[in-house]
Amino acid sequence: MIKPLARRALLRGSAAGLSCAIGLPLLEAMLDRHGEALADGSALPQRWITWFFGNGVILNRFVPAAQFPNPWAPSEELMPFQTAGVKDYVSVLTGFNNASAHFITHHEGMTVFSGHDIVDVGQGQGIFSNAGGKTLDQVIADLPHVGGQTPIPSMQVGVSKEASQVDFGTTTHNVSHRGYLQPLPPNHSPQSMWTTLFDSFVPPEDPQGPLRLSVLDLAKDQIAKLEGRLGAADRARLEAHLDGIRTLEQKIQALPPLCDTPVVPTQQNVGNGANEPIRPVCEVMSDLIVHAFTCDVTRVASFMLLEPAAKTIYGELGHTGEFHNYTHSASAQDPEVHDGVVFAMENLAYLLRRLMDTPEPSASTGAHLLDNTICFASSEVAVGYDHSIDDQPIIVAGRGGGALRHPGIHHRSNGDNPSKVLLGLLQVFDPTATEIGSGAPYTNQSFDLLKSST
Amino acid sequence: MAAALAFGLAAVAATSTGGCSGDGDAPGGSSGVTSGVGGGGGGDAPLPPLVPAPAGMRRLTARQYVNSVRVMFGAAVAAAATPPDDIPLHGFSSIGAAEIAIPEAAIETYESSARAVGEALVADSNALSLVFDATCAAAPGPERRACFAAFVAGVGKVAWRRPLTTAEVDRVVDIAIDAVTEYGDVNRGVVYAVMALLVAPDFLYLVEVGASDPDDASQRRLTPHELVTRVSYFLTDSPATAAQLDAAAAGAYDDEAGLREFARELLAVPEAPAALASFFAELYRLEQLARVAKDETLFPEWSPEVAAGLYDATQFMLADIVWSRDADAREIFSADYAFVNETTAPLYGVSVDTVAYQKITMPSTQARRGLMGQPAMMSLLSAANGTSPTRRGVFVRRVLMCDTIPPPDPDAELELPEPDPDNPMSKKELLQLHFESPGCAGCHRLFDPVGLAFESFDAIGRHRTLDDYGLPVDTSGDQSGLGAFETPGDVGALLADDVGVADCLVTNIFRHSMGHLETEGEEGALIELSRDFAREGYSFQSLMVALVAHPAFRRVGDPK
Repeated sequence: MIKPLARRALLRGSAAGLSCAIGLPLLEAMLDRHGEALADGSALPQRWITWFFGNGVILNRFVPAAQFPNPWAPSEELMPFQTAGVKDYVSVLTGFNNASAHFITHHEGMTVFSGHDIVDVGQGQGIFSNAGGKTLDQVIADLPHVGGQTPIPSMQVGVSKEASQVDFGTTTHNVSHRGYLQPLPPNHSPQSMWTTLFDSFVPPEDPQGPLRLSVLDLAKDQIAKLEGRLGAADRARLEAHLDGIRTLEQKIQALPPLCDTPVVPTQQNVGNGANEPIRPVCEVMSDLIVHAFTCDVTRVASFMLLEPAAKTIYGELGHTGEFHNYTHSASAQDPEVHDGVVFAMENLAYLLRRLMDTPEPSASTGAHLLDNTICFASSEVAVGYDHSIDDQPIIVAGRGGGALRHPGIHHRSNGDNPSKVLLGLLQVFDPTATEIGSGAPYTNQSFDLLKSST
Repeated sequence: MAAALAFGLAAVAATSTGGCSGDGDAPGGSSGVTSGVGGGGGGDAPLPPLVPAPAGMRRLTARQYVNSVRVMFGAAVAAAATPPDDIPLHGFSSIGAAEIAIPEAAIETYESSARAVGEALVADSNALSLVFDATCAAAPGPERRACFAAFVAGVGKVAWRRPLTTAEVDRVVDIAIDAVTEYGDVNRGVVYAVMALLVAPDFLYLVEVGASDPDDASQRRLTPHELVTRVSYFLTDSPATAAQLDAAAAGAYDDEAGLREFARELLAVPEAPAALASFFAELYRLEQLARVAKDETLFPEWSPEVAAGLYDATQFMLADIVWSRDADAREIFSADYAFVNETTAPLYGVSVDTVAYQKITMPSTQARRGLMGQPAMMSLLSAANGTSPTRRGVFVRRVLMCDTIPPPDPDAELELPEPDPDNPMSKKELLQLHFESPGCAGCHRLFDPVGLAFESFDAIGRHRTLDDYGLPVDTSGDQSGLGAFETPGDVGALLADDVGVADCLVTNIFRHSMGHLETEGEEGALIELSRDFAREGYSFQSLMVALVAHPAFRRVGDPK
């Protein structure tokens, strides 16, 4: 097993201090005989990816014709999964109607990632809202056997740096939220993301470890004092601060990743407008996720291709106008809209293919990362043109350690609440989960058709 | 060309000609007719009593963080600071700083920033010698402790904006001495002491909980240290100095006169214009200029240099009004002059061949006046490949008039007819089709007429007579809540004369300074400040002084 072991765990297993140059045989010794589980009998790591693309699809070119129990054939806009050879790992869910009680265009559909309705709608600011609760990636990151096992509970990457000029509040600028007023902004810099993932660990005997911890101890003590002086809203912020400190402590106490860490990426996320290098950055960010999973630095990632209603221009596709604007013209039937949707799916397919091409590091059975990953992809609208959140497109990829059907299916719902899909997927990680979300999208029912057990 | 038109095609039915209300209830979001909150023209009717906003804490903005390090260790060391990005809310970083929690990843960013500052300090013997006696610290045992204690107490007072207790100093010194012992290097002690001070929540948060008012036990007011800190960060984005903290503790700013004098002193330091420039950059979105892209075929003249030049040009105009002349701030909207250099002159349609910016009167034929005549604004409020009257109009209503523009009605008909190739329509004619659609008309009438006034400026702000479709531009119109106009210059004059626009400027600086949207209990304060603004000839400097002297700025409610 090549996960960065907690220093505590390592010291328990070895009298002598170990340097970071631990050889692979020791790691294999930590696996069971079949390489399919850890030596203590617990399952191999399961991973989660939330993948977001803005401004929806063209439904009549996206929705596959056949549905379960018949095998699905790729529609025009889903063809990239076939081309990349990952189609069997992909399920497509259509016909789910987002249950949000609000309608302020690009905001309410973001509830598909959390099941929590948006809040603070308007506030005199027009197109304004805040996310109402924790997104599913963070619910999963909070599980002790997921985020609790890695030095970094979760990572958030973004590709296009362009934002919307008219959308305000936390909802649309972030795809991951720790809770209300607790957005986790995406990191748009491959170099900065690399540093966070691979370059800021402390070797075991380095005295900076204890010194850094004592600096953080002081900060924690100050928070304890401040909490007594402040009200509930600020105490919640201090708790988030404390969580962040604990995460950093966890990282300081972890060993450096015992794997071949990638070199710092050369691809810069520079340029703006039509000059954003979107595909190259998608690829390098996807590679970083794959490396992070391989090294077990984290098991949870979110990926934001472009913000809802962002000013992003797909210059690489020869576009001269903003993709968002194309989706609002002529019933979103402009060829640029279709090209943009296919482009998004190609970039998602790249990530899935990279996961499929990467052997599960702790297994000797030919399994790959996609076998032990669930990737949930969606947009904030079904169709950009009318901002509809009925028939919101959902893609679920990966096998979830065998928990999900293989090959994947297409299921067309008759308007069911997509939060049921979230709950069904959460149960793969946490069988005790019984409900998800709040407000109108809340549910205590799970959608189970994706599960291989059904 | 449909793309250029598409922004905001959806709209909502208005409940009245005044505005699409029902979307929110924030004060200042008055619909349509800007009767004002009582500013210049209003009489002195009795005002609702002040209910101070809840007490709380605010995270330092990135600028405030860097400036804090600058005051502690100098500009060279501060250049090493790399705080996390701000997260704006309601259009202001200061509001995000007061409401949004620190993202998890930012904790490590703060730690590495603190380390970088410490390393920069020990690498800079001049900067270090100003705060730390290295020779004394090389001494053994208790003397070394005393040297570190002096260092920690000295810079810690600025960092934590109050004197440190002995126990607090000891705690940081312990960490420093541990580092010295561990590495056998005094400088490691300095680095870890700096890290302890800058990673501390007492540095990262401005805690503004106040204390019971000795004159009125039912009220809370900011403590002297909290008040001097709030004033200083507002006016200069920088912390109070140790001397100012001492003066505050001695009661120098307890009365309004002392506070006004302090504010005037701060307005005279170089950091004050820089702080206000960042407010304007955020309010008018000028900070986004660096990210504005244009279609390279249609606008080959556009470049990062031009964008930066336009930013400077607009900031020069604002600084000229507020700082150089302390003039009537309403000139922001109606100025008939601009600051132009060789890079930006072609966009203003004038000829200037110097690198330095020159203040020149704009040719009257362009009707280019004030903020909305700035190519910076026209470029920002356009798409990459054409103008967007809707974006321009929405900006005028939302940002300059503080009106609420609600989101589109879900049932609105969203598609405009495609232009008939045999019967070409101007962008104005096309957009006016909104007015024939019941779902669109209510809201688009709120902003399209005024937005269309700027059709004589293209997507990078150049004057023109033909629109994006090659058809003649007609800038005339009549905007509900503002008035009738023939040219964009007339709109500038209307904005300058509109009491609601001046009130909105007061509202915006209030939101920025306080870190929250105004509450109902602060309504009277805004009216008073607006009246004061008018009485003082719309001097923006006077407005900022009046704001910090106002009880709404000095008092707090129970913690939120």
